[in-house]
Amino acid sequence: MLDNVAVSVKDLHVSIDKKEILKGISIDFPRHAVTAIIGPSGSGKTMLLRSINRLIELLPNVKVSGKIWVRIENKFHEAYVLDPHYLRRKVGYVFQKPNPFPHLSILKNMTIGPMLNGIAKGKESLERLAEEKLREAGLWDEVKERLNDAAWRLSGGQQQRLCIARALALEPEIILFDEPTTGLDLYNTKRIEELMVRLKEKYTIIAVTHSVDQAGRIADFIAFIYNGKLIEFGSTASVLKSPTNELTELFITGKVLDGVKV
Amino acid sequence: MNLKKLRDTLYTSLAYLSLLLLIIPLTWIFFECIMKGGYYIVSRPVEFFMDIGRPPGVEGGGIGHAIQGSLYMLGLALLVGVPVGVFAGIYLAERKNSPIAKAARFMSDILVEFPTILVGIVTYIFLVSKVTGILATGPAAFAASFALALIMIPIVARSVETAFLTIPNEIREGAYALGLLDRQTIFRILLPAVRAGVVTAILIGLAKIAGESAPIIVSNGVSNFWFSRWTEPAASMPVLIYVYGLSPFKEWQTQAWAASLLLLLLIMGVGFLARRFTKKLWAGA
Repeated sequence: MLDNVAVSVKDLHVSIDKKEILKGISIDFPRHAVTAIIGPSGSGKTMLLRSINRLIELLPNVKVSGKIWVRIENKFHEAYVLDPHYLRRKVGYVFQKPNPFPHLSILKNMTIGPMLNGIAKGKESLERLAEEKLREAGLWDEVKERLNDAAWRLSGGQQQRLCIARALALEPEIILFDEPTTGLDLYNTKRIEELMVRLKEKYTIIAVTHSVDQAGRIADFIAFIYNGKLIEFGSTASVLKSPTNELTELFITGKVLDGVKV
Repeated sequence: MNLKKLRDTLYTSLAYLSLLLLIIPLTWIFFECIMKGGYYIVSRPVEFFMDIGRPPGVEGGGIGHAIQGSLYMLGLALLVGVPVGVFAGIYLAERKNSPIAKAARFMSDILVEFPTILVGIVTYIFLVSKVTGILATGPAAFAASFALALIMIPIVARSVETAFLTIPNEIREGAYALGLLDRQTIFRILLPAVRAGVVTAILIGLAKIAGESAPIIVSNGVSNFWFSRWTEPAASMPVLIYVYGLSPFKEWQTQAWAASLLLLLLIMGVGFLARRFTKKLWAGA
């Protein structure tokens, strides 16, 4: 498989309660790049994202067919053959709504994952890891004086960066973002966008967004999904400036897509 | 005064009246216990808590044996009932759609409403009856504990289930997204998050069984002595109240009131604790 691919999806079909959500998607997500998945609500963006780290299997009555290959430690593994817990560790996930563990302190939020996964042992090395990852997520200076505060005391934007840092602490190689700036103000949105761009140096970023503008700001590549199908995939410049598909053009110019059959 | 206002006043008064009807019996029982039994505790505190009963006609005596027996019985009931109830509740919440969970939920709903004396009878027949019981020890303290545990389990299970269902799904998903196993997610993330709710569930179960007398009478019988062994009948506070209260002897009746007061205070204490914990059912903001 190609050297510059991090995740390779082949003919992915997903159905929930016998309703087909994804209808045969094939796409190669490039390494060390930000790929934005765009599309209208209900098009299956989040389901595609959740298929990659098998978080989708938490839903009842889900059927997944097709293949997903994930590059971990420079080798391709079939996601649905791999141990799902190992897969989820290596393929981090940041949710739409910040979801730190509210009963745990900021520090504990950072250390509980590495501790239970056996990534770091001992108070000292766990705390060192926490500091390193909080710095990486650009949150350290804001929380270093209050590491033992409950996580829910942080602002929404800080909580989301804590969740990103928490995912980083598991030393993933790929990070999936599901509309991570929903409900955040412009300042926090900007900070998280900058963070995502910065993170691509070390990680592969795949981000679902419903905002074409946001995709334009952060992404190197854009995948447009509509009605469970991949309509268009290419570099950000080519998709936004000269889309080859009529539907893509309708979507990125803000036209209504309702009722258009594909 | 117009009709609207009149109706408003009427409904408000009715509401107050119902409230009064709710409060009066409780207050009345409470004061009755204090008036008829309170002085006995105050006048002979050491004897009341530390001694066993005297024969009719002899002054003095205490309910130490009943307090001791109740502590033993409730202790064993908690030892059995709490783990089973909590695990069952977690299962009901975390595997809510599985057929086993659906069946268990249905059955525990029935068991909650089950006459507790029947639980005692069933325990007696299947566990300790000399004729039909698998252990055939005859009436025994451990059988009473078993019956009390059975009464407690569905209450604890449903309350724990409710507590777990208050946890937003994002928290669960967040834990799984960190690669945690089911076991780690439940016991390291979710259970600590709702520990106040779980404590409340246990206290509610305890309050329910602390005052039960019928299942104890049928499975354990009556004893007027200190606790001897688990396979023998033991004394207990609710049964002592029943026996002493119905006796024709003045001293016994007084002690029954005193024991009632003590039991009432204990259950109120547990209820008060449970309420304090309920305020923080879920640790989230």
